[in-house]
Amino acid sequence: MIQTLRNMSVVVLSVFIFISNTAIAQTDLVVRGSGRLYPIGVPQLCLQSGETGAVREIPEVLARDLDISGYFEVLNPNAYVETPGKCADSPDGYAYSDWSVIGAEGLVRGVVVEDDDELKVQLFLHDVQKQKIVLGKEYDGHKTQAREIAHRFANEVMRFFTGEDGVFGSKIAFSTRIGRFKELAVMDMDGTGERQLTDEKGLAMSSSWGPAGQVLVYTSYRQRMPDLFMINTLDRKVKRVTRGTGLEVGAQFGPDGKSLLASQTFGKESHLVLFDLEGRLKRRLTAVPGVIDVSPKWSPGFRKIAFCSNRSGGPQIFTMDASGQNVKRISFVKSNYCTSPAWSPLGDRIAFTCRADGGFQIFSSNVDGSDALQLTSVGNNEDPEWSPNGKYLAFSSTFGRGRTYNIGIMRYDGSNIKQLTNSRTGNMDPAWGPIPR
Amino acid sequence: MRLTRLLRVAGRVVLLAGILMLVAACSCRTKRGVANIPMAEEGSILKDVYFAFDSYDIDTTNRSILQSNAMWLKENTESRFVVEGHCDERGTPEYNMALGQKRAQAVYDYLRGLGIGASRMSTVSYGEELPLDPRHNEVAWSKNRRAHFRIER
Repeated sequence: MIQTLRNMSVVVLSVFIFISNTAIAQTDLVVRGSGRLYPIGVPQLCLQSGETGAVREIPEVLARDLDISGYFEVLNPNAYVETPGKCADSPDGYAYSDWSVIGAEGLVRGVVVEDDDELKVQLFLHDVQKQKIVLGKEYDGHKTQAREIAHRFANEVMRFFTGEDGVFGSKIAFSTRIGRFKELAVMDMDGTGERQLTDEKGLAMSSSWGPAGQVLVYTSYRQRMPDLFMINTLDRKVKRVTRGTGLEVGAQFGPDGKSLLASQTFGKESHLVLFDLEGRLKRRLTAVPGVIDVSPKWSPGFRKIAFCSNRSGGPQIFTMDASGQNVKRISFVKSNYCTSPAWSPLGDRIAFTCRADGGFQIFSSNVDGSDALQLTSVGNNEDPEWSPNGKYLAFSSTFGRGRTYNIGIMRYDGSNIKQLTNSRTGNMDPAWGPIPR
Repeated sequence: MRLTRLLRVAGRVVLLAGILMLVAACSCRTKRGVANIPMAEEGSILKDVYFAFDSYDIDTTNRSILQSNAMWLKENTESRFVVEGHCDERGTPEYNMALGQKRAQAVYDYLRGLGIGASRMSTVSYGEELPLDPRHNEVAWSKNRRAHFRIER
């Protein structure tokens, strides 16, 4: 348990650029988005001392991250000419021709020193055509932190190419079906490190992260009726939030993590409401008799709210001001059933699910409903959730096979779909945590 | 004589030990947590009512089922029950939670109108989570879009 906690707690690493080359930031490398993928080699690292498997694990994790990103084509290691794990006298003391000959334009290589369970890892990004190093980082960490080191360098590579924060190393929480129950689980966003959080033998669902990336708010039947609870993902301690006789579902933390926006169905009415963290009702935001208002989602900056309502017939997506005023329908995609909105952290798009093509598909549009695009078309796809940098969407999908849902991610434009989990009983309803600091 | 008494005492000790073990086993089970949600079950004495996709309307078929359920409830005034709202698997789990609650509430309201006391009834939604028929076709879906009566006593 202590070991687990240690792994889960904030990774302490010294990170600094240690090569002082004036030409570092000067490069012609261009990222071409979802068009042509940038061919890159990620070979086994050089092991300078010790006997750690990190020399293989780090490039594997890195390669997977770069593949998921949708910007890179990681070249097949079987095609590499250079001897795996080759060491040289200096970071650029290798033959670039070994890499240009197999079509690599980029190359990540590095050196690992293992000393008494501690790792010192140097990683370099090379521009193969210009035959020079364009990015270098050094990391110190415990030998169990090889994955984190790989994710951190993947984020550096993404920042180098796109100028934006990467999302590697962030967490995705989701509901997983175990027998007839639904429990919460969490994994890294590359699909690894999955672990079950709850063992309630009930229904644990609709989770959403607190701003520090440690606590999840969710709906649980652990007291046999649906109420909101919070769980600390590190020690798994659970705190009850609401004690109503109605249904509270779809909660999301508000500004500073001090309030909860949720849907409450009680008696004849279904409202969007604000609770404080003790479950006391602060404010009722909607009040249309007889309808369903559900799945409220803050805009970045907490000025507006997107939600799902059947006030105009079937469920559709609406936006309103944080006060509850100025309600506007924004989904107009020829579907009588649209649910589960998600507001991009970049503020410009809202993703949602609609019944279309005989199944359920994910769409996104501008926040006023214009420029609606269908992002998925194979099987059933539901519950989109933006990555913290607004570049990707996590979602539940049948991936075109049967009826069992699993978690996948894709780029914001629907390209580069990757299946992350492979449960035979089902995983659904992803919640993407913040970027680790 | 003394032997008989000894045997009787021994018998009692064994019985007591047995009971203790049973109690221990039960409390152990509780500690680990028995299920917090019920098994899906089909209506028997009180019949289930069924709904159209994405609907919580009490139509004429539902009304006659609920009227005969109400007759039984009026003859069995001691019974308390939960109205469970359920949905088919299609659509988003979160929306279906709210939809199931609406279905349970619609049934609750209709029974109130027929004179069934509020103190005897409560509602709960299980959304799409407790299908009666686990298959993935229209026959299963139409069975799963239901309100079910779980008699508590």
